[in-house]
Amino acid sequence: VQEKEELIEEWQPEPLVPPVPKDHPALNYNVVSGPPTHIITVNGKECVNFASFNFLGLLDNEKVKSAAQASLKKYGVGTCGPRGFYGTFDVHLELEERLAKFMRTEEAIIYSYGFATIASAIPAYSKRGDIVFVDEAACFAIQKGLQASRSNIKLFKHNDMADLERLLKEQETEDQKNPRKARVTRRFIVVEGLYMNTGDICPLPELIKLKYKYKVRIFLEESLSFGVLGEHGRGVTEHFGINIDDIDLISANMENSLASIGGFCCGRSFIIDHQRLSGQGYCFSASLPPLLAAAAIEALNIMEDNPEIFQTLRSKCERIHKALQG
Amino acid sequence: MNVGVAHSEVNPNTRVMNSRGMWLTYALGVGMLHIVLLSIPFFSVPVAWTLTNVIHNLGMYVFLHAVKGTPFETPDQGKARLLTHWEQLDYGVQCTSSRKFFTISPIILYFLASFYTKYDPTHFILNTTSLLTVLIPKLPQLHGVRIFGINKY
Repeated sequence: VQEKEELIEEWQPEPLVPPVPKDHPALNYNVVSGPPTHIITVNGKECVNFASFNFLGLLDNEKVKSAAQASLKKYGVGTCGPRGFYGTFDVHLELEERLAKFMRTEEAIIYSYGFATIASAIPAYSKRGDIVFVDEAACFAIQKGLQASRSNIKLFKHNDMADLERLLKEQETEDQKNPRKARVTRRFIVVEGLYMNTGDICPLPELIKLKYKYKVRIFLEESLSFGVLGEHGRGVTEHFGINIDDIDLISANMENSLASIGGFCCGRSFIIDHQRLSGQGYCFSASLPPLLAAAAIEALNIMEDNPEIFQTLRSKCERIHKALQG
Repeated sequence: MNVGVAHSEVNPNTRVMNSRGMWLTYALGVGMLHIVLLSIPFFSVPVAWTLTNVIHNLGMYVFLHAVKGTPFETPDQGKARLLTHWEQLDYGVQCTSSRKFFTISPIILYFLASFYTKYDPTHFILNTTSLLTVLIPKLPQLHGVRIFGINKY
């Protein structure tokens, strides 16, 4: 016991924070002054901003900014409520209508947080016992949506249609063994138009063929490809010339090309209407602030009036890609 | 939870039979059915009682032991999709008061029907088979059991 006391007296704890020299790099931040647009002023130096998803440069656009400021003067900042409880403003309905018309689908639904869009859309349709075929390189939001859905997840190798077909065939043989179970199981494929993790485009025509061959529904996540691919910026469906009705649900982030916040899903009314009560991020979160909805509407106006910006964007991308390859 | 009240119950099917007024409504409903059957002039009293018993047991079998899942979406991503209402009651806890009530009520109806049919053999066979179809699925040993895979999915 005496030794124990002595040991306790002798013991010096290690410092909670180790001593750090004053010029440690983590203590000297790089300070950004001014708005982070395509030119960003870091430590007084003007740099080209390669660290944002502001593809069309609409974050800095004067028309978008003035539309947002006018909306701020009219509505204030927040909506103070979810869509179901006095949080639906006319700008929300207008934005939904404009998005549906732009994407040439029947209806669209707005979420107030881009991550929550696909993470709420997947569990609204896919429940326990359903099967979802997902690309390995799916983004984090899709992974969380799949986790929330409690469905059986089958991963296929990135953009490997042979692997997906193998999985679908296996599922088909299982279904033939147990047709009654197969009749109550829903099957989905979740792919991204332009993958956030690898930068590849998904092979949509083959996916549509597989969809009709094996009777699976397709959910397409177009966060990075909306406003980038396609002749008028309508995404990967326009890029490949596919009929938009072949895709069951398109979900996209408005935080990239559209320079707003939030996300939207679009598709047939029958499908989108279900999310108005079952989309957890729609029913149980406050709705999008009206100034951001107005900014998104203005950005859509610009996209519709100047369809040549997409070609400019793509040619610039190809130029940089070639230059970087050396 | 009480029906028609704001509640945070994940699956209301589990608690609906414990709600205020459920048992009384159920008993009155069976009484109404019996009065309607008694009012039809073609049925004698024994026939009316046997019909009450059989129709009640048929309804109970369909709603409690045949139909699966919930008529509404639940926030638990369809945990009870393959369970009948009887299996969902009280989240699968056996021998709660609702379960005891719904086990005893067909037995009481059976006693009354046997009495009023004067223990006639044909009526006896009908009433007994009807009672068995509604009592056997309620046994705790048969919780989640699907015989011959019928009604499994």
